[in-house]
Amino acid sequence: MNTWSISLSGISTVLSLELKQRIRSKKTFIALGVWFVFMGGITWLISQFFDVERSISGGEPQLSRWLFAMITMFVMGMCLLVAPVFSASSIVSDREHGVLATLQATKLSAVEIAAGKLISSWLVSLAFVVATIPYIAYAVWLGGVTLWQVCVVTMVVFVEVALICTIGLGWSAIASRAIISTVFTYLSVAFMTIITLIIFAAATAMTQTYEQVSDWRLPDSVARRYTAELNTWFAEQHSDNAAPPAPPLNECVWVQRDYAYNVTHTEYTWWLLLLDPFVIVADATPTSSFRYDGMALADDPLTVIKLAVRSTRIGESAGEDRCGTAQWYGDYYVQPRADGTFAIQRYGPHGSESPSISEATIIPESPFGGYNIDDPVWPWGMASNLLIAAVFFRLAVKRLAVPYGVLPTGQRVA
Amino acid sequence: MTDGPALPSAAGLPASSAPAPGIFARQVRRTFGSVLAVADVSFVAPAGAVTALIGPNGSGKTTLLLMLAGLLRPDAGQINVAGFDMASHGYEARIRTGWMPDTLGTWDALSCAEIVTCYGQAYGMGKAFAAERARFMLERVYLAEYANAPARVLSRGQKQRLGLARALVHDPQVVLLDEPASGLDPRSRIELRDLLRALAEAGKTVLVSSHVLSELEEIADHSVFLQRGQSVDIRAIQRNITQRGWRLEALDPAALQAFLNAKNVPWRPGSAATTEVVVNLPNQESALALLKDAIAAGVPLHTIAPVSGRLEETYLSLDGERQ
Repeated sequence: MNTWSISLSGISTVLSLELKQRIRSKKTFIALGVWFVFMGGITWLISQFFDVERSISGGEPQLSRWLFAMITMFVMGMCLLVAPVFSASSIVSDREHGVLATLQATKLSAVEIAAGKLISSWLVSLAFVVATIPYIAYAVWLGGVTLWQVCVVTMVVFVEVALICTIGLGWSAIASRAIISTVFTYLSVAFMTIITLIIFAAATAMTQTYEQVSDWRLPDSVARRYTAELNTWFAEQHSDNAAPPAPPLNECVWVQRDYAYNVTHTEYTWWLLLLDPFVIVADATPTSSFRYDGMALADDPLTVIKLAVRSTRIGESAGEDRCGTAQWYGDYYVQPRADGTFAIQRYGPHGSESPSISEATIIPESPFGGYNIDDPVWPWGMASNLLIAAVFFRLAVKRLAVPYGVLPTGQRVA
Repeated sequence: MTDGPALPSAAGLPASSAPAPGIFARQVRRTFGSVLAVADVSFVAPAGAVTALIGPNGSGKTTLLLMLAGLLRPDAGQINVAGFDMASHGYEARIRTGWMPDTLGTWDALSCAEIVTCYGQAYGMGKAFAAERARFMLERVYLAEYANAPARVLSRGQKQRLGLARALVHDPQVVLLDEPASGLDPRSRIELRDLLRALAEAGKTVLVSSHVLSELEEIADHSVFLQRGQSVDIRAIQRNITQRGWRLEALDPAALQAFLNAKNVPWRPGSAATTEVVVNLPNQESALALLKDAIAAGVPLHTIAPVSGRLEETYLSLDGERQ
């Protein structure tokens, strides 16, 4: 049969049919108006936490970053709640109203009906995203948020809304009544956002072991020797282009910590967080964390989530890669640079001095196999979400394909 | 349907003048779980004729129509619609078929013209052509004045006519109508009858299921009887109908009754509103003999007519186990 045959005109026929019904329903516009006012209220509340005037004049980007992050989370969350309304009833309510079978009897293929319904519920849900643009623009206007960040967030939200719409479509194809498919779609959203988080917490609690973690670093004796070399070098007078010695990283070894503690092996369970749309949007947004003492830190909610998820993937038991990151050697703060040299900064009695660049050295390949805090997790999350969407879409098409073989209980053809 | 906008051949539909095979079903069977909806149905509905599908509630009419419309797969048996085998070329058969379900749903937000246009587009027509075709179809079912009205304001009978316009929008070779007359007023029924006759004359295959047997008798060239999911051999039934009821009415009822008593013909009173009596007679010859005798005996007889139509007789003689 023509279940999988697809034509643009077929999809647009179903799409325009669906959109006409939505556009002529006053309810859609009332909901959109309420939503716009509600999001305005949220934006106003968040901005009350900060001194907007000072933020603009003093060039403090923190307010806008917070505002942007909070709006992003809210838009995301509310879209996850709105999308099921438009998608979860699409097929089953047509079935209830007796109009589905007459469409199936036409030239339209199952995939055209499914795609038309999916796109329509997606577009209507996107109207709710678009309605928040003025508030996002406000965050951009305050500074601190780049247009690139806005674009990425918007794209991710678009995709996540499409995912929820597909899940709703799938349930609406299975369920015999609209109320059932709506409930199951909301349960799916709850599963992806909250329940996976609970499973993650429970599963992680079971991974604890009492062990001694090893770090990849210079042995204490070598570190002391290198500190002595630096002391000697900085005590001498040098010409401007002279370079202090680089740390002897070829002497790095695994050094076991001299204490044991309960290590949580989140590296076994981190993938449970992947399904969460909030994790994906937070991780995908190109926000900037900053480093302090080699530690990645954040001052806005999106980056906090991002760093939290990435650290769960790295896990505690991996120890620390002290040869690949900036380290203190006595009074010297030694930071690796991209070109194989190190910036060495002495903190003397009068505070820090300007850094000297070390001689170049060949950094041996780190045996440190674990992930880095800079490695993104969102591609995995996005891929798993798209896989789920594909499964649900296929399900919807299968359930729309005629002629019906075995009819599920409670389902009528017409 | 020979007039009106011509369908483009690009729509993949045969020209309306092309000779078309009708419907051919052999030993078709379909179950829903443990319920046997259609047990064993075989029939032929030729092109260029109206075929009536008759049977009590639950006899499998709707299920059979769903299979013919390409929406339901038979468990066993062979179906051939518009020259295509449903099992191997279901899509080709489906797009040449216009199916009108017994309960028609509509989209409340859309106008009648938009609904019919939408179905035209669903059959692959361009928007402008589909709109023109929709306007023509609405005129054809006398709904032109409601073209821009939302479907929800239509009465039940008007909705039926809208459903008919919708089912015929792509000028199908085979027309399947499930209870099209239900909810129609007498004038609309006559119009429906004319429309179906016109379709048959244009070479279409028309299959109509209905309970309004007197209507069907006037328009149907052939009849298919269904009983508990099985097609029934009509000739066998009609052979078994040994006696038909005849309605007699005279100016002097007492004289008629006395005549019948004298001739030893059993009779029973007919409709309460009249003075008529009903007698059972084996055939038309015996009716003629009785008429001659009555006139000869001076009974002022002015009416003699069969009580019901032939279809109704056949229908009632099915051991009608309604489910």
